[in-house]
Amino acid sequence: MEDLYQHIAEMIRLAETRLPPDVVRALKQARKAERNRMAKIQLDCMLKNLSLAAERGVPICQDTGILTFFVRPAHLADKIAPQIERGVELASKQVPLRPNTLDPLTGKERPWFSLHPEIGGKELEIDLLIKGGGSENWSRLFLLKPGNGEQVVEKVISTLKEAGGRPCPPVVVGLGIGGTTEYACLLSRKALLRPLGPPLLDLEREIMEKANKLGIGPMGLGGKTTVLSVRVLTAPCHRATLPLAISLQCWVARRAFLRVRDGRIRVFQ
Amino acid sequence: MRIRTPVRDEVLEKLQAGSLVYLTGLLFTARDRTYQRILDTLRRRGRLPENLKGHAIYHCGPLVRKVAGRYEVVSCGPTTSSRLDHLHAELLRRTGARLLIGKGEIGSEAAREISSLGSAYLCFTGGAGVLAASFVKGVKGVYWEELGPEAMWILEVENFGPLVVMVDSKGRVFRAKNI
Repeated sequence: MEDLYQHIAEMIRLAETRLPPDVVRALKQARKAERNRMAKIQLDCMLKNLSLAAERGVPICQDTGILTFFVRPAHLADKIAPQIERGVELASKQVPLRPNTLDPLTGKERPWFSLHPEIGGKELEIDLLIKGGGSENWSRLFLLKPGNGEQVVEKVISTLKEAGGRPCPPVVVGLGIGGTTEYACLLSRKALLRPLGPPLLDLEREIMEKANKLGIGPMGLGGKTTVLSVRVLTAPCHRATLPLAISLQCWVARRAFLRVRDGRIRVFQ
Repeated sequence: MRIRTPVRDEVLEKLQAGSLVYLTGLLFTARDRTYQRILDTLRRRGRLPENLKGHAIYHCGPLVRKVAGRYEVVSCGPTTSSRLDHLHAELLRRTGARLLIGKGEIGSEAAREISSLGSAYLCFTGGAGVLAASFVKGVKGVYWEELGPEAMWILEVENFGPLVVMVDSKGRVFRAKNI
């Protein structure tokens, strides 16, 4: 596994230059369903952009985002962290990636990525989520009153309304409900790694239907496609609390996975 | 509608909120730190490296690479314009630039100020960085390179669009419709 960093760089390149098939499908379906002129124009630009990026093998968006890695099993994380660092460095030059991170106090450029070791798994598994700054500014955490699930829908809808076109809709909504403050946030990120598609829970359906009646549409210019998919992950929470973390992912919903089976490495979306 | 920069008053007057524009000419990129740098310079009565009169400011931090010693724009979509709402009017007033190009809606006060200066705000599809780069003919210059993606990049573009007129010089603002 000495060359693991090369596979990590490849995983980053894949995520930055191509969208997973389910995301492309959702965008194409939205284009078919839209009757709004502006929505059609925006979706056409998005789809054209995707083919150009694939053709040229370059990042779909100039904001190549912040990279978040989830690594299982946890005990391997320490061992492979230097390989991830090397992979990110290589990808930064080769893909290339925009130098996006600054020290929050000095404002000086400082490379950084987010790494989370996780329990479970036998052989190495790495999940990569890439998120730009535009959608990140609309991440929200609410500590709701327990036993009042309707508030969840209200909070998500009001967040989408306030955000309008700024997180680059149509967005994917990742929700972490329950757990503790930090755990809810992590769940909302992991929800964004799930494949897009029809709602799996009543809550996902309700949010999706209400959101797509807001009229925000692609890039906030109108239409019925504000949300491509809603994904909810839950954990038990303290009886006195109901944490809700909202992560909005822009239409450039980037992710990739690395799996090792019997010593063989596979990278896919 | 096809327009050329620098734009003249009579062209600006023809722009209508909700209409589509294709722009040929120069784009001067400026985002958070670039705005600050431009304004710091002009507030101290300093001079900018370029005359922006009549030109278009593009809210963008491009992804660039150097190929054979020359800069090449890889991806250059817009960034959220409303982050700079409190500074748009001063920037236009002090630089003489007439067009702002970015993404997303901007606040109503900023919109009023932009219109009152006879300027307009247009938007391009967020995330469509490669499509934007496909209209770039070349990098004409770069100033304050130490700011990296936030440097002021001067991009020569041809038929950059479709840009949607969000705020026009007559005070009209494009509003999204449900259907």
